[in-house]
Amino acid sequence: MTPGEPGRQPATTRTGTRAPVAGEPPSTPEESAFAPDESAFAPDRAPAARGTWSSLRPLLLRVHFYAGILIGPFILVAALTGLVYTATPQLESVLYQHELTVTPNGAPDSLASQIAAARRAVPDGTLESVSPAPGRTDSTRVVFSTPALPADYSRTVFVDPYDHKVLGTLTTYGQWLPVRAWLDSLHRTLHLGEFGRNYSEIAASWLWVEVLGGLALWIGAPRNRRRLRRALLPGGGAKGRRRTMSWHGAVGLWVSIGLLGLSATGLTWSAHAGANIGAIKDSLGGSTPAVTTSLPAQGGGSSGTEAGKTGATDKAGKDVGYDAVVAAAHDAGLRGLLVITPPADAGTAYVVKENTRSWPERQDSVAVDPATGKVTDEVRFADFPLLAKLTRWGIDAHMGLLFGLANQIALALLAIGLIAMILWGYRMWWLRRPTRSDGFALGRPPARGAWRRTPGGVLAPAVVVVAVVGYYLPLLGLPLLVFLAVDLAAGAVRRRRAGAPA
Amino acid sequence: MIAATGLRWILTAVFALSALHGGWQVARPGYASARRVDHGLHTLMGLAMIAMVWPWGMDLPAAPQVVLFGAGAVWFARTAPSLLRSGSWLKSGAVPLPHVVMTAAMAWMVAVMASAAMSAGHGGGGASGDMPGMIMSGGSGTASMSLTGTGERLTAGLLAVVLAVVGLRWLGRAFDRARTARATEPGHDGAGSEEAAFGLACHAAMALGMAAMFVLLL
Repeated sequence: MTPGEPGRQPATTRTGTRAPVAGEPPSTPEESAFAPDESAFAPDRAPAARGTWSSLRPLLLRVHFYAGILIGPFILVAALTGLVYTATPQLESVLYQHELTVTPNGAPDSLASQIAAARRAVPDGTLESVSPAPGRTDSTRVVFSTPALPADYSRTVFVDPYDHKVLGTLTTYGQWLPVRAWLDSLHRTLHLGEFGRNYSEIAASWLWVEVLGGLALWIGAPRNRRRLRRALLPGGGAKGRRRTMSWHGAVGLWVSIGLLGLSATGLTWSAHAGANIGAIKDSLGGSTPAVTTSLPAQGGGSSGTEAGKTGATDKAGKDVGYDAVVAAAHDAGLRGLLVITPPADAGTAYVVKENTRSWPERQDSVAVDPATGKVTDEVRFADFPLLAKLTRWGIDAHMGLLFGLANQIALALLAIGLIAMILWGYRMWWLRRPTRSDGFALGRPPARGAWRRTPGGVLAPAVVVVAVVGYYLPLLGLPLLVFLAVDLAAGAVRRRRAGAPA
Repeated sequence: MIAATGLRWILTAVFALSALHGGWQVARPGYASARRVDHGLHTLMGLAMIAMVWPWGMDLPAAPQVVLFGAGAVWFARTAPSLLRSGSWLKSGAVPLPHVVMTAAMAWMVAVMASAAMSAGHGGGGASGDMPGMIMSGGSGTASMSLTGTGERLTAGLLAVVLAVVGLRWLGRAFDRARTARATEPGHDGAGSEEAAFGLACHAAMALGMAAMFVLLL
């Protein structure tokens, strides 16, 4: 057995390894626990007494193999679309240079005049937010909702801050420009709407299983010499399937941490698991804090919502305007890209949020009383719960925003590594196929019945843990349940056929 | 009562497995009466746990259930003295302690929920009113009620741990019986061992399901 090869070869494989012949008596007492069809090509023939790992390894190998074969396409599509997504900032700067950049020309106009110009460009729009130009060569963004647009999409007007000339109007998804919105939707849903989210959730739910399982198999693979080198570096003189496995394992080892991060952050976005993760995060006190937009009471004595209403009523009609609100936010220490949301109704405040999503992140926010221009509430990123900070950093790293170009390159390398690993995995499967039989044949899977080698004391807690995780990650649990049902049915049919009289 | 629809159905399936297995065993010919009573109690426990998962289960009278499962605990404990004397207390596959704990826990769970409901004048299954000693919305979003009393929470936590251990032990033994079924019975198809494994798995499902219910009450 080649070091690092986690499975026995089939009888006549492309690599030429000799394996047991059907009907051959089992070589160890343990094999008698398996039907002939199940004992053949068993991935590990070590006696169970060798320990928990040797008993678990065949089971893990089987899970890794089948998840790779069946879930691999989902992960491959996510990796391919993710790879394209990494180039988004460069695409945006090329495609939308006219809207995004301006030539500095003296002092900027007031925000009020810029917003007025934007309103004329989208007369039927309702103002959602304003982002003043963060730099001297940046344009101002004024975002409107319009009745004709689908949910979460807006019309964003780009205004030259120096002459309040409208540079262009684009349909945006949140803050994302059309090309990023399109690629984002491709990566998340394949443009199939809510139903399409299931594809990326399946990929995210299973990626970490494949990575952790693969890591355990690779690190725990039997190697007689040069263990570290063979684990860390591909090649090593191996040929054929062993060489492919060497690349699959070694590259997998290097990219594993990044892939685990992508899987975890991807799950936080998902529809089903994301809701569960959000609930767990909230119960642990890790929810992202937000400023209170209700205006404070005037004159004391009342509190809560009623106070807010009273305060608003007293000052109804007064509004200091966007320029004063931005000035108040600057006074409160907010810098960089700001997003100003107008009051939702007469009883609420403006909200100004920092939205710098590169390191060091700036995510402070303040509420500003429209009547007085004074800050009524503030939330500092430094005071966020650790879980909320980790979520923010994780999401922005996943999107390639946190560390700029280096982040994009790292993500692209991860995507390429993942694509290569999936293709190597399929190649290994292909190389396992019988070559002496006539016609088309698939590579043989790891032997059935691997669980029979695992002691109940190990299997029982593992099953319970998988059940709990499968509940919280339903697109891990449900496909696993379906696979188990199909596998059990297939096993029953095979046993019945084997037991049927000739 | 479980608020999350998915979990409600999962637990229903888990308890139904145990109840169906018990009912099947009761109906099988050739069993002694005492064994039929054992399995009959398992069936009733499964059904009662299913009721406890659903809102309509809150309408069922609690007192008969408490009496029934209290008596069930005594019934399962009846063989303890002889097993103790024979020294096979822990070795025997029919060791009664887990069953005693499960039926007693069942009686306690029904009682604690019913007493809280009575204090609140709760008469319907809509669970719209607040119960003293319980939060009706549930902290986790999966249960629609959770215990607030320290003693009750400690008891529920302890029972959850004990039942989880019992369930894992049963499940482990079920796997061991199943995985060695064909190896240990040369010349046989292993049906006896597989049936025994299935029985153990049903016990495990009941214990683990109850442990989950106690966790949700915390």
